[in-house]
Amino acid sequence: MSPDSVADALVSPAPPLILDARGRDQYALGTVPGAINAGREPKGFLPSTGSGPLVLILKKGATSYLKRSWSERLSPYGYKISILNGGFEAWQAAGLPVEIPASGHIKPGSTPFIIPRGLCEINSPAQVRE
Amino acid sequence: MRWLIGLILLLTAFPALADEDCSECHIEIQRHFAATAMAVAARSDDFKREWGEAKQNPECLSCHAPSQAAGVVCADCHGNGPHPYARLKVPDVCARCHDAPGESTVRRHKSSLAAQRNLNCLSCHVKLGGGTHAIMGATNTEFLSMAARLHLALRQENGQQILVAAVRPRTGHALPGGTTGRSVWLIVRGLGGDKSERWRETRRFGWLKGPDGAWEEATLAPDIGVNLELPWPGRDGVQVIEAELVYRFRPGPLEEPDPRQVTISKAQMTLRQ
Repeated sequence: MSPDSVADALVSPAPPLILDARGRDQYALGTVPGAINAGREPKGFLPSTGSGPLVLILKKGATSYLKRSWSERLSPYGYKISILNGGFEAWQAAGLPVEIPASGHIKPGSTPFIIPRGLCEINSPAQVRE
Repeated sequence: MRWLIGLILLLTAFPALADEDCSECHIEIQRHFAATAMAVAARSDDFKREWGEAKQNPECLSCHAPSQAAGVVCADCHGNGPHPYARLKVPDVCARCHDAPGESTVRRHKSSLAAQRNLNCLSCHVKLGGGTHAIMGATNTEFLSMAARLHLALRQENGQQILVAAVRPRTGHALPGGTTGRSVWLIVRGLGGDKSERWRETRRFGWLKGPDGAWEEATLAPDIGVNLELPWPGRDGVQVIEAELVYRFRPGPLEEPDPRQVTISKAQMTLRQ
């Protein structure tokens, strides 16, 4: 799929799941908004059972063996798999938005905060903010 | 030429219209809009409760009842004439209230992929076949159930298993949109072979008030959402992971009952043995 087609699909009623299979370092530097870091090894990856389209971002120069391995890994879970043509570089070159994933992640740990009861609220302490 | 001058005079001299005047000609539009939450924004139970807690602060009415009606009326968005009115600029006209304190809906929309693909508020918030004014939002359960998708994934990293619970908003704006009175909860549970719960992780998204009293935004960003990463999900004999994304019409703790809460999305995964 071309970057433009993927961007259109992402705002359609049935948006694809995006998996970034380039590895942690490249993923952390920037990816397609909403992409999940799938790691680099198809063997070590397990998705939830799903349906519908799935777009795979592979590293530059990915071999046909790697493409086939990912396809074989994901197909049994019910997804219709496509590959982002030209990879993440083509997405950037098309001027499409980029996510820097570090800002979107949350990890267990806590800073106390207060849950609001509304814009003009009575507060009640609870929960944890990441 | 004389008829044209007459027409211009007639149009420009037309008096400012009250809401009931509009319905005399725009019957269908008025009927559709009257059924929306916007039309009764100052009469809803949520608003009445919060407004009471706010000691009936008149500033709240600048969005909930700008013309001292039951809610928003025609002139609040379209202005007071002269007739015919200029075409509204969406989303800018929505921003007056939907970027008010405690909201960032339009601001976040402007940075979304949806905005870049030339979609605006009306692209999603108008009921199909409902004309231009059948505006719907989170109070429409069917519409709300499309607000986000939840995915689970398991990857190997440096010999360690990492579970990712990924929330992907489809709203084209912050989730939850609307005011501080709403929240979205992500609940991930690890279950044993006997379906008993072995561990649980819960996260809340929505506006919050920090210890210093300042409002902070902790809503989910459009398109990006959030990835909750949990190492070793198979600990304590866990065999199945279940996750749920819940939208609530109240901001407080999850334990506080909300009869209107909606499960937006669910995901399940069986871990390899």
